[in-house]
Amino acid sequence: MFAEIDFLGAFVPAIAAWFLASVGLFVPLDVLLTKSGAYRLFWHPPLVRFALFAIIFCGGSLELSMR
Amino acid sequence: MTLSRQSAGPVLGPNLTELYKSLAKRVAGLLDSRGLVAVIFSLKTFGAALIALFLAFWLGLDEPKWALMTVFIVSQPDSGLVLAKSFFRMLGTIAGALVSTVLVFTFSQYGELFLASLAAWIGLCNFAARTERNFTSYGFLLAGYTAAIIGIPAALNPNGAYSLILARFTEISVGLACAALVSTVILPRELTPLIVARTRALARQAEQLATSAVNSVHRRKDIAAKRLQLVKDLAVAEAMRSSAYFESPEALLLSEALRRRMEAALHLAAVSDATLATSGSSESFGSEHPATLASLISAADDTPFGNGALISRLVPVEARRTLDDALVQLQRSEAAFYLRSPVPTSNVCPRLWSDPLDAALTGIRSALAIIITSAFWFTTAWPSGPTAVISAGVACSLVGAMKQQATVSFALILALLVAALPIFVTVFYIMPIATDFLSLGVALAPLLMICGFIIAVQPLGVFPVVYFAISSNIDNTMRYDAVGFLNNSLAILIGFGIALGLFATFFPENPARLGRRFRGQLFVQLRNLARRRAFTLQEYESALCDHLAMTLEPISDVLIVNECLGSAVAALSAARAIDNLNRTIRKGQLAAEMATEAPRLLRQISKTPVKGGRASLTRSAWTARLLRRRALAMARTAVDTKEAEVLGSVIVDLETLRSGLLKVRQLLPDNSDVR
Repeated sequence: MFAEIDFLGAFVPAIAAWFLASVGLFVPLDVLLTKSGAYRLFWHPPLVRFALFAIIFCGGSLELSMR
Repeated sequence: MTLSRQSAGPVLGPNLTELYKSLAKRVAGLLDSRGLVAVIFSLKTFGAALIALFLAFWLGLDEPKWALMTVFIVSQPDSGLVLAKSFFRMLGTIAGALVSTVLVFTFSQYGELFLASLAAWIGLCNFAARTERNFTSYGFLLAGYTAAIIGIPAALNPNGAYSLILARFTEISVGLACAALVSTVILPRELTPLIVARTRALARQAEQLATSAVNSVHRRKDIAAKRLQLVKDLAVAEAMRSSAYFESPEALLLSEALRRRMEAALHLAAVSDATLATSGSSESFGSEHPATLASLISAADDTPFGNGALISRLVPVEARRTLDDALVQLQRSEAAFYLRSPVPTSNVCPRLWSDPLDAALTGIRSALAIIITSAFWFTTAWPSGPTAVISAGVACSLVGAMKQQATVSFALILALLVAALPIFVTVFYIMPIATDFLSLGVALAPLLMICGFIIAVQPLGVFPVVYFAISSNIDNTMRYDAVGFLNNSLAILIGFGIALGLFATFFPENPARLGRRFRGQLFVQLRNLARRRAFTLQEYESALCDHLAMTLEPISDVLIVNECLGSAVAALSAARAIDNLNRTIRKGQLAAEMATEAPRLLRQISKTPVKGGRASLTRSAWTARLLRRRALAMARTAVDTKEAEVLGSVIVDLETLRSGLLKVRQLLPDNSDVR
């Protein structure tokens, strides 16, 4: 289950923290895929980019919530 | 089998390919047409707004209208712009939310103090916004008026302040996420190809300008028009580049190469001005292999006439060399761009110029608007007072960042008056028919889609949406309150009206003052360049181009435009001479006497006061002339050709500096020498 995080006395949902962590994971991966030209293999790169972020964020959230 | 393939291929293949190509071209052309772009944008924005509204309803957020409003505020036809705007809106919202938390928990018991500190904060943010550019400026504006939007309702209800601040933040975040997602995934209109095409066109424009400058057949008036267009296009391209940065990692990787390309185009355009000034006086432009400076010096007579003739030959030869260098630099930057060769990232952040007085006036005006509206609210104990204060803050922030503020705010008030009727009809006659979310979407469609279409053409179209969102109080359980709607409308109009009054009366912007301030800025930055501490010539050129484009944007008076352009050309030529001298001094290539005298001259220029500056500049011009004569004498006796060549370029720099300083005198006020 997600617990709330105490941030300067305010309770912030842990999913917000995971969202930031997902962005941190996604950005270097995105740069790497762009540099290697991997996105050129797809018809609609923005959709792939969004799907990649959704996989990281949702996958991580599910994994964390089941613990 | 093989035969049939071979026979069918040449007949059908090219036809099909041609058909496909022409079809693709036609579709691309159609998608790029302005009307269709606006329609697609309107549909996308409406879709994003509905998703944001649905999510806000589903999550049970307090006021879903903020999510809807945010989508329309950040949406732009180009997807890169949406991401950039969303990023800065998020930063601005975080800053505004934090400041409103501090203000609410510190001053909510003392209304006057709370509003005074809010006015100071908004004034400060608007000051900062005016000194910044593009979406960084937008971030500051947001930080200012978000504090009003969140802080005032929270201060009126301090017990629920924290949850209210958090709710507003969540609603805005939902709106941002939906706008960013829809604009990038559904029919994205990427900025990167547009900026690539634009920089290519800029490079060609700069080359044409250089050709026109060398070829004396072209009329100076046409060249001035081309130059003005180039300056404006460069400013637009730079704004696009800074936003494309957010679009994708590919745009990020291209950003530096694009910047180099634009800088090279600008440098070529700037250098062509020097060529233009000398093109009529020399035959050297016609020759493929112009003579070296050393050979010209050794061939000239050492008589007053001979020296004068020599200088007028040296200057164009050096100008031609500089022009050739600039052309090579542009071609190199283009080659580096197309070959995707790694470009070293510049660590120096280009410092742009801004007018501190103008920014301070904007800040004071915004603070005054808050104070006057708050005083009206307190005196009359008007229940809709908070809405009026928020409206005044928003109007001052958003319109304050634009040019021709009084006209824009008047247009805004007119637009709101026109929009009041359709909004009233939508809220009180169409929305009540809706029974579920789908029918609500249908009810909202006509108004919001028309607004979306208008936003694609004119960004001010977002204000009717804001007006609708605030006055409709769209929620899971709707309350239809016609009196509240009219009170809110009146409050918004009064807030905007106070802002308009201040824009029209409190030191209103006028073209003559803008031109005067621009010339003053040119002079101050020239002094900084001579002081060597500020920036390189390239930074000076970029900052000048940006500032010139910004100044000329609201000016339609041809006389003032020409004055500004002329001043910019004079300042550029003096700046180039100062930079060349600085570089020669730094390399340590000068003989002992010149090595002490040249830095002294630059120090003298850097200390030129604004008051009495004309006389001081004349003195500096005479010193430059004296040094030029000494350098010429030294060049004649130089035994080494290399030394003579260095001295030759110093002679040209000193001569350019002398004539530049005499022209730069016009940047200073007329009466400065009256004692």
